[in-house]
Amino acid sequence: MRSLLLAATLLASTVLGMAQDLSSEFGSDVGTATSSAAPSPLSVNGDHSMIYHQPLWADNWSYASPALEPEMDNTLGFTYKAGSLKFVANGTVKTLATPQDWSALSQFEIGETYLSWTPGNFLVNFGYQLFNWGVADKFNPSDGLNARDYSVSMDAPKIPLLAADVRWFPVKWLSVEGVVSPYQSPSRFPVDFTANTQAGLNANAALLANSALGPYYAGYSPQTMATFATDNPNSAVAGARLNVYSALDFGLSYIYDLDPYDTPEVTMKSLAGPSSTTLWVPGQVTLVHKRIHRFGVDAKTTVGPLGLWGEGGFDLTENSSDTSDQVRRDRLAWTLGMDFNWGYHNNFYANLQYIGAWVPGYDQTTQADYAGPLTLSELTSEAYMQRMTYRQLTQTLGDYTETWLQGLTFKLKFPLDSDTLTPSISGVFTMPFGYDTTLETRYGSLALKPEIDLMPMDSFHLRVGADLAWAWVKKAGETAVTLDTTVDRLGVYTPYNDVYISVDYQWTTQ
Amino acid sequence: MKTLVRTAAVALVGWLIASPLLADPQGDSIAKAYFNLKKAHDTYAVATMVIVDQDGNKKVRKLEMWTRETSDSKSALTKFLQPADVAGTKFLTLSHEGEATDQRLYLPALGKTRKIASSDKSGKFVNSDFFYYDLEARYYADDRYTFLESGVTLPDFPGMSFSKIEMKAKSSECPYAKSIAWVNEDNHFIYRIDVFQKDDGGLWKTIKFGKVKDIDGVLIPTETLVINHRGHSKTLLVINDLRVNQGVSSSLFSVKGLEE
Repeated sequence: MRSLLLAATLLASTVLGMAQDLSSEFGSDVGTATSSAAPSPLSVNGDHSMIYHQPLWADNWSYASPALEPEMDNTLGFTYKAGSLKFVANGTVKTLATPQDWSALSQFEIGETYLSWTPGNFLVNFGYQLFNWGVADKFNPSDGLNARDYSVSMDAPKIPLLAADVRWFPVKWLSVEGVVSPYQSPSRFPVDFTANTQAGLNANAALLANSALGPYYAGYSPQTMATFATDNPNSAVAGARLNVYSALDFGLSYIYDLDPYDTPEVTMKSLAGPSSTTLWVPGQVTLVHKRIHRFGVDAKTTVGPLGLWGEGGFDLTENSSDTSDQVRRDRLAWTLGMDFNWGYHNNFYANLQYIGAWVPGYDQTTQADYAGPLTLSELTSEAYMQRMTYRQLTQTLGDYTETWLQGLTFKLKFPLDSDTLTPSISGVFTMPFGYDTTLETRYGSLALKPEIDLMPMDSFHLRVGADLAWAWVKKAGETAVTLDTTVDRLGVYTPYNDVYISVDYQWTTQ
Repeated sequence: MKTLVRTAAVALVGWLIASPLLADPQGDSIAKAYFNLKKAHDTYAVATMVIVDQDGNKKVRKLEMWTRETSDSKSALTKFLQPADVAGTKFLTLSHEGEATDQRLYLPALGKTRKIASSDKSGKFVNSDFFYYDLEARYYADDRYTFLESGVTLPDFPGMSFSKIEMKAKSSECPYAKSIAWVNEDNHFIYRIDVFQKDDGGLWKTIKFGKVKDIDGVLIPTETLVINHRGHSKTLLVINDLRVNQGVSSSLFSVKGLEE
């Protein structure tokens, strides 16, 4: 009886083995494709890309900008896992065609490179890392640990931060995180704040030299000095975050940050004036990065077909109670958003966000208050001249240009033919309220990024798109609406409007 | 509020079972036999997914999969190893009987975990013929069952005899109008499921489970084939390296598991 059962089992196994070979429908080479074994502890990966920008702004056909230079990036990385330890290393060789002679200039940039350890309920990472705090799409008021490179595009890729990161998961639905970094890297901007400040001081000096009191300002030569050192131990930053994972994901965060923007410290200088008076001028402006406390809160959930999120960030500036115009005011920013899929198999994706920011106590009368010519009593008042200098510099250098900023962002993706072709468009429109209208009236800013992504094979992308930005203003006394390309945070990218074509191929040995 | 919803759901299920018009004891019995099969406490597998689109183009994805099951919960984590542009993407499914399934996707390019909304559940999982809904755990109480016929044979599975039952999901999130399952009359395992569209009731997909292995009394298919009759595409999931009851940690099925 037992042998009969055994025979029946063997027969059944044979039948099963022959009859259930579903892979036979996939052709002869499917066996090779599906014969993979457990992944190796060591995996190597690569990413190779080239991009060419065609500038649309005639003055920039020289390509003289990190946003426009033809570029080839070769990234190589590896991951090694051993038990609860993992080591990840990535580095990129960027080759830029310099605009002067089109010779290639290569530079190495370290990518995410860190040691990871997962003992029990802890996750510990040490090394160069990218932190992605907050739940909103790109507009994250609570996300400030990494410095960013605003010079290459509005997307401003993050710069890896050397940091120790510890996350503790006491229960599955809760995590507590602490981050410490010995020094913060400076962010990169499309605008040279030091040079701009110096240019402004020089312009004022020229005005004074050409005024009726010109001879008294003959030797006046103001100076601007920047102080940010990349390895300054005083630039250490730290952060903490608490996350709750449930039907409603919820997070609280705090960052003891270094302000990526400059705060001026003005040293006044005295000059001998007429009738034994003393004329006061800004002798030196030192640009410093002060501390900033960032408090963040975010929440995200799904309701039916919708993903919904909200995120807020409050930036408490150093000495914010100081009302002397020498420090910037605090700032509250927020993002409310939703996304959903639709279309055949819900393949299409849409994302809409309302963004806003409020600077309570924003000084919106600086230009109005100093519109007229300076009197002798003002020029001889150190307090008056110092306050005027601070009011002209402090907010502008901190990218504060209005009391209220309201905006909408959107993103639409239309993957077609199994993602072989994906047209997409994203954009943002912002409108300022409560600003100084003495010199200009602002009509809002718009940035658009249309793109077509062709993926003829896995991990190979051919992209054609455009980076477009405009900010419209009407100067005082003029009737025509023109473009602001120097101050507005989107408008500064107008000179770098371009059409681009890029090729990207990624591989991995996993 | 959650308790109220659960109480209402239990009451609804109770009403459905009590209703002589809707209950089908034979269909329920066959379904119950399937759900009562011995389950693995945990599994680990390295798998390959081959997707063939309507033009015959073939795409291959390599992935690791972990599952863990208790009496009232089922968890699954999938990590993509290849191709390179999706490598590191992780997909987590957490389900407790009687509660909505929580699905989260970790995207390494964004460094963020995203919750999957209910409308996404009829979306294609990495462009395969699996929907996010197909990857959710199933419980006996999720569907209503109707016996159709017995003694049925299938050309792909010669020598086997099947009972056919119809399954209709109670949840409106289900993208299918109904499903028909072929349940092996000897081992009570499901070898084939046909799913039908909501709009016109037509056949949408056929899902076949092949090379079923018996590991310590646990039946596990090592090949799953999905044929999309509407999209004229098909997807084959082949398990290459299967390990059962090796002690997969429960902490893996969490945001920590996704982001580590």
